[in-house]
Amino acid sequence: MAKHFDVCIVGSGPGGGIAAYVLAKQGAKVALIEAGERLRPGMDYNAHGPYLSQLDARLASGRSPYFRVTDYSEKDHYTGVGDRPNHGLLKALGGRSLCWAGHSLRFGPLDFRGWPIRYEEVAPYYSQAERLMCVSGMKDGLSNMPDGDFLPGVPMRCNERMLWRGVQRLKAKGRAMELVHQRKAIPTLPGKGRTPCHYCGHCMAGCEVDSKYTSANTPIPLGLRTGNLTVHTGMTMTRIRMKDPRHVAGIQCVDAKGADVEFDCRVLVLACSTVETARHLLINQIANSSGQVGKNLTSHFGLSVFGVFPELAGRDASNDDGTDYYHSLLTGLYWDKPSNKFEGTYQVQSGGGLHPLRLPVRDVPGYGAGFKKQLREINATHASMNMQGTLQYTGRNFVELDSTRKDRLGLPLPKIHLHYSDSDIAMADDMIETCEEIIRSAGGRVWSTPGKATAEKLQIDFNHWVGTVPMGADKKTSVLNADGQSHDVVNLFVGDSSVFTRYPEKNPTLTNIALSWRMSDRLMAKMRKGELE
Amino acid sequence: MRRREVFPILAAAATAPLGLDASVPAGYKPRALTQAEYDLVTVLANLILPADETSVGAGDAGTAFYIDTVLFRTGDSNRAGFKAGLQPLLGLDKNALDAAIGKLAEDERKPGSFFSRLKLMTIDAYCMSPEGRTFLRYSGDTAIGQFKGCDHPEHQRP
Repeated sequence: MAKHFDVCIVGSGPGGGIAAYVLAKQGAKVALIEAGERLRPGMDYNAHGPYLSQLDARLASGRSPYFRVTDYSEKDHYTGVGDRPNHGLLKALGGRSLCWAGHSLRFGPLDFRGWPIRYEEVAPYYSQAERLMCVSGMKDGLSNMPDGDFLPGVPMRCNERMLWRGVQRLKAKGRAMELVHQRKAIPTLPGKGRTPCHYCGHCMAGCEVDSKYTSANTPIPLGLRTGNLTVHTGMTMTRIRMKDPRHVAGIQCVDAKGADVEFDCRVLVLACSTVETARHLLINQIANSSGQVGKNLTSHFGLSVFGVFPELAGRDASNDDGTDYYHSLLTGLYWDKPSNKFEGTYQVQSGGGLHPLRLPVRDVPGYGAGFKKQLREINATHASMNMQGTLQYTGRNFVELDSTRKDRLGLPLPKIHLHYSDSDIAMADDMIETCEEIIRSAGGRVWSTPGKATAEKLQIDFNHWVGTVPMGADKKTSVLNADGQSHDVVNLFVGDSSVFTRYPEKNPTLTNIALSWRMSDRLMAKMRKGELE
Repeated sequence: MRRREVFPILAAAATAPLGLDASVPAGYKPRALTQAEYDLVTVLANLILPADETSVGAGDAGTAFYIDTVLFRTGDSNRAGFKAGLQPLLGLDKNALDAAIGKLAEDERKPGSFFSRLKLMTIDAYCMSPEGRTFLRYSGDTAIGQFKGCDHPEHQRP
């Protein structure tokens, strides 16, 4: 016997979580389908430490010494082709919102070029998302990274002030760049709906007091409070059932005990992740008259440069943990005047501070008393600059179905193709040169650098895949319309980052949430008008 | 976790470090290494990060316990490879050991080198120990109500 709902949402990450709340709040009967289970912050993960005294128990339980939420990631759930792609599938209520750093940057007006919607249409959704997520930040007045409704921002550490100094000196010589405070979805004040941050620095490992915004700690509980939302954990979608080629009838799932469960719905929202949503559309052979499903894949890639600042060697010891590593962001590069050496833009997340397990000195050869002294000095005086650039759209990066490898339920695994282009490598070279310049300009010295960039040195950010089910005005070149609705299947919507038409250098999650919120409003309006039957 | 369950944790955390006291269990007997190998690792770790006027060496901060536990809990291939690396060093006197480590360190950059593995695990162990954290002047992993950041006047000027 099938269960009946107005809307089934598959995937409870950033996009699925917000859609569940918005739709339930507006009166829809919603089923949220999540393959993983609910994790308990502080009990199922507790990232403080690690300490020697915890080591044996943590390893004995099959976990890492770090007891991170990412210990629950599904391993080997993809096939990689080319330049070492990766895919991090975190099966748990809240998905990868459990392990994001919280970086919440609005895309700017320039970033929506080529999209079927403009910045001004998304701006109200950014504002309400920032308020719900408790985004903290400073008002920077930047043209292409607009300010939002922020709580007070988190200050930089001494190490990051050194980089700020270097940037100011280069700006005085006419260079276009800014070093600003990071913007993060953590409350810095009490009384904002979640426990204020206690600055332990373990955001990405999983916030054990639920201060950082996740789908599991904010929109899903709010949705449940409406009485209209039902959460089904341990439930894996195996098939999309069609009424006819233009209409979804529901979905078929397998529960944690292996039993088949059917859901009927008036509308289906896929929010499984950029890779997984494309995979399910390809498996079910729907919504792909354009042939674009799985194409248009992109992400951020990068590498790191370290600097040391001798003047910090004698500074007072301080608790530098803060909100994870990166309290600052180098941005504003090539917004107004694109490079003639590469396509696109990049930003640089920058951090530093006295944390023993982030030691850049690991790469330093040697041992003995001198090495030990360096261990302390470099730890205290270093700053790290971590590039985040957008992969060029070349047509060589895409997701398809693996014709041989299957998951435990017999469904084809995704095959991810990644190939860095000459433009990507030129962008990395530019970043290396710029970061080295900033460090020297600030009076520091470059401690560790990749030197000349090569494809082998670049690392893909597997948390930032986007674009496999893009929105667009032309149904021949896109999969969804501007509302996140399939061109082909009337009652099918998509709520994750696969919908991105183009991709700037900025982190995707805030925009994913804003767009999913907007999609949910559009969906409700159409459903009320009977346009989805 | 419900909100009311969070507050007691924070209240406790506000007055004490969130981590547990770190020390090697009293009377610990190695489970992956022999006692001779365990003692050798302690000596080697003290060569890599030696004692100085302010702190003990990494060997005396629990490195052998760390390595033995990791090897015991993470499988045979790790264990066998590491133990094989120790064998030529067993029974050497101090001068011979100094010379052998110097020689091994020359291969540090080679993929899969025994010295590199030993050194990285020594650093990890030291950073997880109270002695190592003190040496590194680390005062984090505590709950604080406000992050002050850098307010040094000289760091606010271009």
